[in-house]
Amino acid sequence: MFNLIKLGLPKSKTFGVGLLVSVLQGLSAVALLATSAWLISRAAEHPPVMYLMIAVVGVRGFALGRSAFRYAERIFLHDAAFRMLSTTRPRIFRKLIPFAPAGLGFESRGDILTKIGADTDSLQNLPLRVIAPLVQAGVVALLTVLGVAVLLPSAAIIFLLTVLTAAFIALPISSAVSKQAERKQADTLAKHASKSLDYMEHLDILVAYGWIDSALRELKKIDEVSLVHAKQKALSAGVGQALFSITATLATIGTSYFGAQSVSQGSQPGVMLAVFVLVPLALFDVFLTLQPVMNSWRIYKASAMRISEIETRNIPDVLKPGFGTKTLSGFTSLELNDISIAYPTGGAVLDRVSFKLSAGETLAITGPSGSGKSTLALALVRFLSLQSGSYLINGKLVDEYSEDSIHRTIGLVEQNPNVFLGNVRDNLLLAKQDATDAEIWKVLQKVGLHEIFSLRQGLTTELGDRGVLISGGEAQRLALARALLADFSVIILDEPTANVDQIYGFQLVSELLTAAKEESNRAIVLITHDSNLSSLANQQISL
Amino acid sequence: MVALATLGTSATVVFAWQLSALVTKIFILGNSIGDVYFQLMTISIAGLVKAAVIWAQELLSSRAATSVKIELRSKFYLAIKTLRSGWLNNQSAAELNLLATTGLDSLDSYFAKFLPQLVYAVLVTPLLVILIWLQDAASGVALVATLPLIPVFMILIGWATNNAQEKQLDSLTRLTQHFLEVLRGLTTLRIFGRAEVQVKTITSASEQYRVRTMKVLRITFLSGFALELLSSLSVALIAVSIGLRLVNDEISLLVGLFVLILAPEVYLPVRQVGAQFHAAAEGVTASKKVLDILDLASEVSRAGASNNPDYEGLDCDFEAGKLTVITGPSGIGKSTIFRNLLGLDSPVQSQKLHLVSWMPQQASLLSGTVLQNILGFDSSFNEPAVENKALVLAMQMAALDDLQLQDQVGVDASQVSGGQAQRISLARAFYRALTLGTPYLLLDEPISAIDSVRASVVVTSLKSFAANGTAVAVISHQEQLIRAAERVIEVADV
Repeated sequence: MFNLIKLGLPKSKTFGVGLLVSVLQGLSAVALLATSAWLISRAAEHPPVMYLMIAVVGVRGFALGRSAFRYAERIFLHDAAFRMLSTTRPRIFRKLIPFAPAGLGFESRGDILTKIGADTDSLQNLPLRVIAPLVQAGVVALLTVLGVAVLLPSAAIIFLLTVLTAAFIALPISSAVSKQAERKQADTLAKHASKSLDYMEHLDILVAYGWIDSALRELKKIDEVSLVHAKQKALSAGVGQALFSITATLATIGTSYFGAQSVSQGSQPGVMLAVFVLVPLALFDVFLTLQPVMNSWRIYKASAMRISEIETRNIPDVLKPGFGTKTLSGFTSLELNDISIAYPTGGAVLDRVSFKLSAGETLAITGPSGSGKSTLALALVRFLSLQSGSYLINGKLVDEYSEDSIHRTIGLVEQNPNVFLGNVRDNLLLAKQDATDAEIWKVLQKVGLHEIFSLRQGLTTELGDRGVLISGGEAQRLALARALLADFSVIILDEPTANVDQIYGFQLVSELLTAAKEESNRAIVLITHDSNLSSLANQQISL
Repeated sequence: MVALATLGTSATVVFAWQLSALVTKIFILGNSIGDVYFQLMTISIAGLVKAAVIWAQELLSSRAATSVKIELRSKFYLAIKTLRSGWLNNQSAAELNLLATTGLDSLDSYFAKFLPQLVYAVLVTPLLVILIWLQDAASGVALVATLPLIPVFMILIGWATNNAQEKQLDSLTRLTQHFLEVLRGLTTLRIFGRAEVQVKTITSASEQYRVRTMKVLRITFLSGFALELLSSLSVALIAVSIGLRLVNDEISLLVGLFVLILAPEVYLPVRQVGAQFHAAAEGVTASKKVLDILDLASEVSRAGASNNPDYEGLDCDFEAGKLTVITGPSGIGKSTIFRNLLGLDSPVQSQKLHLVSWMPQQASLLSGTVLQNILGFDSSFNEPAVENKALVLAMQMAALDDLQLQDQVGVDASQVSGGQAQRISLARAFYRALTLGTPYLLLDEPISAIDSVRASVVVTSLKSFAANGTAVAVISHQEQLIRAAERVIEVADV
């Protein structure tokens, strides 16, 4: 719990200032009403106007303070939250580097990483929507109750009780009930979304098979279920709010009763009665900011738990391949002798694999899915260490070379190549920071993208979020262009046909291989589940 | 809604009046606690009524939101049915789906948050102003003078904010995306040895984001500031003026306190309308888009009045009892031949669908079980699968031998292989042809993803359909099918 809170807690001074200002804001709101009440009551006693002047100034000052502090509070708190993110984001990123991709789980790693990113960003919920309202409501309530207690202890007790009831019973009740209702509603929403998408995407089938009316009936049925859930949710939200309103009334009744009693007995001056009567209203107004706290905390907690799991994760040995200091320059051959690899999640995936690949050769690695082809690819680029066996480059053990020089020599074109948001040039410069436009056009030409992009906006053609503006085949070609620009001596193509129509797969791969070999003595490793494609290589192993 | 608002407001007024009366009785008139029991009681009752109104309002508005949503939604689906694929093909299904789901869901905040506040602003605010005016004209004047400033301020500031935001928006979105982008591409960055460098880039992009966002927020938060300032200064103004007039006995304490308690309630709904405006706008935009599509659909259905069912046959020369194969280069529009025969793209209802069992080029499976995909979701089929002879036969003929009926196919057939999806789609068409005895069986690339052993089972099945008198037409490139055809139509470049 403590560690969870620490994760999203801003350490900047701005946050402290923000909290202080936030408390001042709440106090101003209470003071505004209290001073106004006192002013009016005192005026009713017809004193000389000059006795009222301080209160007049106070009323104006608190009114100004209430809004000015609110503005400052929001600015300071947001600034503090963003500062926290500026330090958390790079920390999480650095922690994740050795885990990508093998240590992240098997399915859609990009999605997992995006989720981690969203989780990191959701840490700002803690300072903005949990701590700040809690501190504000807590301190203001404490000071207000104390203030009343000094003057009127009997009223303070009932006041305190109602405040506690509101904070610890009314708000949690509505939150607890709505949690359940929300979960049910989320299930229904997901079901509805998938049915609705089916309806839009497969309308032809529904029409041609005469199923459209039953599809519509089903959609309506799900919608009606969601109506029930919405009612339940509204019911619980309503219960919470109503309960809150009742405690506010109780507080008012309590302070009014004891206030009236003490004034009529003469133990309190009459001018204070209006103050006792109105202060609870002002305080409960401040309390309204507590309403979303539980919900925000739930959101934060879920994200923070996942993030803290990442932060405390140890890097398993298999993800820590050894590197030396020797610089690898030039490539003649690569050799695996009886290598075995255990995946981070346990169990040997690759068992005693051997092959030799020399410059200029193409090796096809085939096998059904799950046979460890991609694992082998990750081992070749040294993202994974070997459990046994040896891996030699140019006849020397791979551990002797520096990480940097290995990554300059051996490159991988991933199964789902990552296209970054931005244009063609942005995506290619990644491979070579100082590449000229001419160099970029040259590799684009080799992979057959020259024409497509010159018909669009050239190197400034936007590729869209996750490359939505280009096809799967184009993304493969772009990824190869990137690898060519980086001028790797060994290129590993991992399932280059995964996102391409089967009919075009063969053609694409043979074009990619031609492009990769052109004007160079590159070695290629082609990983594929499609044994037809292995005819394009001059040697083959199957796993 | 209006009745509730009125009831709630009455409770608020009683609450305020009795609080003031209580203070006046004790403080000015010197009554004892026993004389204000009535006040304490009515305050409690008014408080309870207020709570009940809050609760009822929440229920009512959520019910209104959901029923409007459900109605709009079902009309929207019907409109899409009317507009048909010809229109749908030019739209993004994902976008339309978003509109139908989250788009219309945002009507919730319109009905649950915006509308009630609007009712309050239109109904309650004037009512309270009149009430206050009757009690104390000076305060009434102050309220009337300041209230209109709220919308004016909001519009002015909203305009300024928009300007500031639009200028920043593009660069801000990029900076927001930056962290997610580099995370998603972490493996790629590692491959190119660029991962470590990104740690610094992330820090600087985040800092840049902070600085620029704060610049925008400083302006954005101004609107909230102005609203708060306006309402709290007005309340302060009213309080001070009441105080000064009380000294000169121009007003009673009872009225003074009453106005003081009520004044913030006057501003509240107007401020809330402003606060909820953006959330509400989303729902309104979505429903407007939906209504546009509904209009389009009703125009289309007026234009194309339906004709009587046509039992004559299809407008084509696929012969009964024969296996016809259509070949030709891809992209020449072979699939369109089938689609036009079925009238799938034309908004006018085709009356010939009952004659045809059709299999589209993409497997087009619905998310659900294999069984549901073959029989449809509404089937009252409860008996064990082995007893449905047509089903067993259809699956045999489609060589669907490696899946259980209860297996899930997943969204867009993501849980089955391409070949399996194609064979489920085939079984679906076969089952329809077997049970309804449709005279036509139109299959678009039925064996392109099926291994050769199973493909030959399918080819035999097609022949047996033809032998039983069905007109079987198949679009295919596969040698295996072309060889089996009794007639081959070559579609050449037009």
